[in-house]
Amino acid sequence: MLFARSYYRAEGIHQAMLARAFAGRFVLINPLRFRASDGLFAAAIAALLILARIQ
Amino acid sequence: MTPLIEVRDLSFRYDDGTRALDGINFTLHAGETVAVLGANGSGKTTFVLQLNGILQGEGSVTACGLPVTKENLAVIRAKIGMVFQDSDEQLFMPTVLEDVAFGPLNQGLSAEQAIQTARAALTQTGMDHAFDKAPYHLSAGEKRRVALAGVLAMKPEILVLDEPTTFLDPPAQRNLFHLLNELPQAKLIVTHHTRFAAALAKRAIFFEQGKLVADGPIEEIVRRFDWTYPAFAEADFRYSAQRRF
Repeated sequence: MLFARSYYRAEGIHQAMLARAFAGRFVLINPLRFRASDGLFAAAIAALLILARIQ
Repeated sequence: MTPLIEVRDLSFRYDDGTRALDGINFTLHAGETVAVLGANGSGKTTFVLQLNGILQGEGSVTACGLPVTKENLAVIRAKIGMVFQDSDEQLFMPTVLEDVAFGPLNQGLSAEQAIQTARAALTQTGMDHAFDKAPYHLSAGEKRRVALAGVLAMKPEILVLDEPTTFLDPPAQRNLFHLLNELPQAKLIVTHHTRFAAALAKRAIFFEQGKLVADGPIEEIVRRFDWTYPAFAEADFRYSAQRRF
């Protein structure tokens, strides 16, 4: 039931996006770029996961 | 003058075989406001979703002189602005301003132009105090106004509003009425709130089990189908309290 509900919610959002001329490609006001901070974040998460795995 | 929307012999079946629309004929002219009435599940929402090609059935649908086909979808979706029943499904960006800019950006406007258009649209709907707020922190009335701004930012010629008054308190409904009343676009208003609809529309269409069974002056249709909410006298409440349903 939870799955069905999230499925229909996603479908509703998709319809709303289509109605506002969404064509499958996100155009953002501030395009996202990969920065040093993103690399650091990824490394930190990876380290955390490895640590959790070792213990 | 070519009509804004022309629907001929439109039928639609959902994938599970449910026949949702059956032989619909409908014409909408510029500047007209039409109320779309009918029971829950009678095909009102399914019908409006056909107009900009989100659902496609058999028959012909023409919007602003263009047949609703794959090549024309981008143009048609810019011309028909749709405000959905559930604002939570319509607002999906992290901030109000980004959400309203979503449509203009998809239309190919530059980031600067899109922001400008979004600001103007939000000012028009009285939401210029909430540019940087997260949409899910807003009240239902504010969400509806942001959703409407998101649509107005695309400069549509037709507004389709699906249950615009649901979840709104009386003052918010009044504000919505004044806002819509001042907009020059042709409007299709799907609603159960017949008094709200009658204040904006002279004409109504009525759906019954997927068929468009009536098209005419709204007062006449409301009377014919007895489509008003009961006044709920005190006696009615006592009755149901004793009965326990």
